[in-house]
Amino acid sequence: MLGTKVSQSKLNPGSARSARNGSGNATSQARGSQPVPATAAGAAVKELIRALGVAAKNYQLYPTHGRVVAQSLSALLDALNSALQAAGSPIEILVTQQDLIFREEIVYHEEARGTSLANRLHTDTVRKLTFVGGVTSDELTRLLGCFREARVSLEDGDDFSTIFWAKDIQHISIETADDFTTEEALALLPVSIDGGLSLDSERFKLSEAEETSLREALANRQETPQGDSTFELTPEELSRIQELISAEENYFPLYDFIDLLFEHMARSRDSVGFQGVVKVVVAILEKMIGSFDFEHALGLMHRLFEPRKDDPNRNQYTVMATVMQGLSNQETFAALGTFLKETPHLPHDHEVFRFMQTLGINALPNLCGLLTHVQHASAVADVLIALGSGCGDVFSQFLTSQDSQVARSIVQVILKTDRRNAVERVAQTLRHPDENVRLHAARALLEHGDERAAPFFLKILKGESGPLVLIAIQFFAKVASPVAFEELRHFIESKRFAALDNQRQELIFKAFVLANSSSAFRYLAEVVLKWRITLGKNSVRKKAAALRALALYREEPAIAILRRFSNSGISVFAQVARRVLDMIEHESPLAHGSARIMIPPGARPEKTHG
Amino acid sequence: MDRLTTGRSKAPPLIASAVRLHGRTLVTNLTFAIKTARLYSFAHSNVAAALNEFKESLSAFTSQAGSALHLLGMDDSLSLNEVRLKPDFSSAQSFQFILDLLKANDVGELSIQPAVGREELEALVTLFNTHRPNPDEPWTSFAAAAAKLQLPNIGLARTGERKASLLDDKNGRIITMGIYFKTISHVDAVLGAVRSRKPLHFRQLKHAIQTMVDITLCGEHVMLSLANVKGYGEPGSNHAVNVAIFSIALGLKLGLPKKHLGDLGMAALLHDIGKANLPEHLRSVGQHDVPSSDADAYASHVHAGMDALLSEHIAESCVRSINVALLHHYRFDRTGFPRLLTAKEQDLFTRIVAVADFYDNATTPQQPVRPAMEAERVMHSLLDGSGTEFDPIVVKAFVNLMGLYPVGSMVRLNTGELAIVLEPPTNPRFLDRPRIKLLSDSMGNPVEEFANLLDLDSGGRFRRSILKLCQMEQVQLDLGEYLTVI
Repeated sequence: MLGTKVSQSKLNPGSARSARNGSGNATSQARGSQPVPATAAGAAVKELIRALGVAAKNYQLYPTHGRVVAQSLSALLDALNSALQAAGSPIEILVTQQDLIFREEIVYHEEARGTSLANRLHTDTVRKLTFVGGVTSDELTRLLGCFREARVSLEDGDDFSTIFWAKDIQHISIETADDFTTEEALALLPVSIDGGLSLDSERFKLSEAEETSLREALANRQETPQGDSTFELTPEELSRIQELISAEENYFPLYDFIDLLFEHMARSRDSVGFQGVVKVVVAILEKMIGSFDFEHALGLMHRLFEPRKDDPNRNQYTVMATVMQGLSNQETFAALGTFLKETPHLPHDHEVFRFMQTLGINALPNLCGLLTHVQHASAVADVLIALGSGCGDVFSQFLTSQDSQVARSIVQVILKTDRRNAVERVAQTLRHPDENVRLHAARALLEHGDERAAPFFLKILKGESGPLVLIAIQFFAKVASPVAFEELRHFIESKRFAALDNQRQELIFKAFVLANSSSAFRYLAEVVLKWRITLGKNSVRKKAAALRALALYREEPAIAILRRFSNSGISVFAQVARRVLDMIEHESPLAHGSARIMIPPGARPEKTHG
Repeated sequence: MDRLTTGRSKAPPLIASAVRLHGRTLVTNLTFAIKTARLYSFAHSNVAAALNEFKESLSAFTSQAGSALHLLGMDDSLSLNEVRLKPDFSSAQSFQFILDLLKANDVGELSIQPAVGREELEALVTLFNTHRPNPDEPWTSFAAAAAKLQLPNIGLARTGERKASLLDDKNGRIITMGIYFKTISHVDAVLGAVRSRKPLHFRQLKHAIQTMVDITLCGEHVMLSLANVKGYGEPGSNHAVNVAIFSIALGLKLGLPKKHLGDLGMAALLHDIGKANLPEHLRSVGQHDVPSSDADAYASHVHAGMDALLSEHIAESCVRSINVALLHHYRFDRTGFPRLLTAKEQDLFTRIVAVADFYDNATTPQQPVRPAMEAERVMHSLLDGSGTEFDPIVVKAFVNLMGLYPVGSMVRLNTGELAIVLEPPTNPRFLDRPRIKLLSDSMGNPVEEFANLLDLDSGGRFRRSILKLCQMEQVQLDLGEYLTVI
């Protein structure tokens, strides 16, 4: 009669009692740590309960679509199928305060109320749990959802059984101990219903006049056997009803609730009341975050802060902002961390990242901590970039993080959010103990291309580290830095230059020309290219690189030198010179595919004679 | 020969809601198969597809239920394996079609075993489509025609005594009454907590509402008949429970799923929670009975309701209650109260509760101001407000749900008999012809039998019609008598 909610009297409490007191084995076993069922079916059901306990716990701690939950769900399904195979369908498990009992065998026993699955179910009025063959993974997920939601919902008026009821699971049912049994229902009736109805004809008598008028009215209705179609729903109305019902499936009432809340508060400018209301919203948000529902949490946050006609006054906004700060707490970031850990593949525009953005700048330090999730570091960095304009002080604390992933990401964040001090802040990282971080910072500064980084690269250029020096050369080949001219010349003259390959030698010359084009041209024309005797392979390479570097200096003196070399008898230099000339004439990219360097207007060379 | 094949199995292990879900699909598919076979031969792909679909839904049901299909036709309703099926608007036509088919042949039960073959199904469909019922002996002629066919996996039984046992579920009625009055006392407690500013606890209300939904899913008639009880408990508590009953039944009629019915029931139960702190004379009156001098105080209850529900630990489902509590007087055309800075649409729950609220207020006597309005007049008032105060589609659905005579009301027939309305009419063309149970004959002698107001006499006219609705207070029916008779 009552579907899944059947009264306790319909169960057999005696059987539970006999299980605890009648069967010597079961009882004595139960007093130990865990019972050992005597039958194979009992053992299989015990394993099912164990798997259920594990899965319920994991479902509470981890995101629903994460690996841990998936594994425990699969284990639970396996255990259930094994139990159904061993015990047959249905599996009916009686629930007492400390035990779960299957066919008079105790399959679970726990006396500690706080951790007992039996006690939890019993407290929430569940007296029997039944599994029927055909349970799907989705149904088990919904069952696990009941355990999780029941834990946080007690004060909301929900318990396991009310939540279970709403899940409408087809192959799992519970029986509860609601006191709606016949005897108790009878006791609840305000009057006796044994008396019956007195059909005293006087009571129902119609006066003659009334009867006549009623009969006339009836005759006037002119009813036909086909009836009256006035109230039949038209096909359009039927489809409108179907639309309403399907819209209801997707309806999320909290959005409307937030709107109404503001309407409600607009009526009363009571900041204390408002504070209470905002606390309610925060509680709802916390619950969503706790259950990893970032999509709705995001929607709610947008709804809260979107411009509206009924904007609360300034005080109320202050209250709202203050209370909302409470959201950036450890629980929120623990949930975010767990979610990121458990879901390795998320698009950059996933709700969880957009939700992070709504947390405001106070959340920045905690958000930086999420950069440790390697797969999501780039997306989290994007969040920090969107949120942290001008927050270089906050970010720079993480530049020295021992976690190289964090430090590397923060470099990117700072460069994009703190234009004024970014270079100086990132440059600190060039002294990071981890070489990977140093390299990353150097590359980031190179990519950033800010001339203020020149002094820092100059120091590197003087240093010994190969990869870092190469990045410094690339930087100077990209950013005109007069301060680097002398150091570059020293480099060209040093043995380290000879150790570079052709491409990098050329890069040095590019940097050299860019640093001070006229002085560089003079040096190239009057020193390098005037070497009469080329001493070995290294000298030839250096001279050829110098010739190629003239392409950067497209003034007449450079072209004259190139022409001279192209007509010279030494074939290797003639070949290079012709190619460079050809390139200049056709405005084509330089050899080796690198882009032509544009000399900044301030660095135009003086006219000189080669 | 009242039964062609036996083989009733034990109760299904599937829970009732699952059976109902299968039931709607099965009935719809069976209807489609029979109707398609009227247009095309069995070789036609449309018929083949329709029969396949029915066979698939049958297999799905029998494998999950672990038993054969037993479809029981009882006057105006169908039961599948002991679970009463409730059609919503989208499946109502199919239900009516199958019911008419069974009724025409006086078939009370159709059983199909899982092993049924395609040929048998074709034979059954042919039988339903080709057999011309004999009006005098419909079952005899139908059974004879069926006996000529090879139908080892199909059982047919005559409309018999089973329907009486299903309808007369006394225990179920008493449990339902118990829940009704207990819920009123829970609402009393909640209203008391609001008045004394104590924390609100909704857990018991939720258990009660979920049980009410379960009962309504089995058949709403006992619940609906209890909604004729007015003024019991603290002012407003009885009204709250009645509105919840009407709302749940209306939501079910519209096709809302079970979980939503639970939330809707809660929202309906709490819609007037803001009245808890109003003066007593305003707590139990509806908007239309409020003196103009009290209009402002009365209107404040919607905000008071929202305040009361805004505790620090509200569940998401309570959020809907808050929306309903604030907007149930806002009107469909947004001209009611409270006045909002940004116009909003009432959500579906609020639109349902607004209609249920109006109906219960109007059918409740406001002594000494006015007696209870007759249901027919209330329906006219609802229709007058359709499109302005109320959502037209919700009003029309409500009229379809209730008919013109409320379930549980006593009626005088044109034959002089006295009867009680047992169930609302299932056919929207005959909203004044609900299912009734006769209480006395034209001489005033007690009788107890069901009567069908759609039965025609030999002249093609209705055999019985309702002449007058006997309001409870008019016939001085006390609560004990009323509960006995429903």
